[in-house]
Amino acid sequence: MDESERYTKGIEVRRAVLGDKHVNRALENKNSFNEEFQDLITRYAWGEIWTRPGLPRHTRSLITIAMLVALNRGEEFRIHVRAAANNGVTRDEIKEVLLQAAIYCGVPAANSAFHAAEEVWAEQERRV
Amino acid sequence: MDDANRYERGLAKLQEIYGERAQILIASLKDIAPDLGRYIVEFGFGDIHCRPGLNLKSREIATVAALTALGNAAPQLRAHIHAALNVGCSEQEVIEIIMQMALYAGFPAALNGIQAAREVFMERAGKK
Repeated sequence: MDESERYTKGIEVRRAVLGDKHVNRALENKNSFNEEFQDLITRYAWGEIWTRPGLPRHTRSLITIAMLVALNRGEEFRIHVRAAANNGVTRDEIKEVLLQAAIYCGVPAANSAFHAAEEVWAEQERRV
Repeated sequence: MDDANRYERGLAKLQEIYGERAQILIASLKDIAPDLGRYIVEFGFGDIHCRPGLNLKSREIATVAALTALGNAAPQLRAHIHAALNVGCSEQEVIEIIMQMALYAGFPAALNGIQAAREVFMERAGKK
């Protein structure tokens, strides 16, 4: 795969997982400061990693959420909670991941994650 | 507290807590970072450990908890487990402190803390 194919494949998967709305916003906000970084995310995170066979996207969503709790990356956690639904992850499955995270990352980390996930869902319901 | 004798005050406190180990700590930094050794004595021990309001045992309990939760400070954790035992903590109390961190910082952090405690306990048992 050359770089432009990788970009095309990446943007396709990025759209499928994060949703058109999120990706359109990211693309509209491209500027001379963040352009290379946006391209890098699409080619590397989405074109290389998320497109790999070997693990279903459902599993990739679960492990991504777990890692973002462990790393205390609140904003990215919210993005991936939203995205998880596009990969067929249920709220009950997210609950299980967060309970598991409580053991390995500590209860306060899981507590924040439970609150953040509920905020994401409340916001989605307000929009519907 | 006056600022003039921070080093002397800190050194006395360091010796009160660590005995002969105090000199080893300072000597270990003398060759390439003597100022860092001075800051530890002045700030850590001259300013903080000398404050009234919390006794030495409580300060060491808090320090062992913090270093266990940080998870990336094993040598410092071992040093402060020695310190805690020197200022009146029992081995059982040290274990309880570290176990409580399983709840707040996750089981891996607590397990690594227990390993540090095991090494300190064995070292001290060998010396007796």
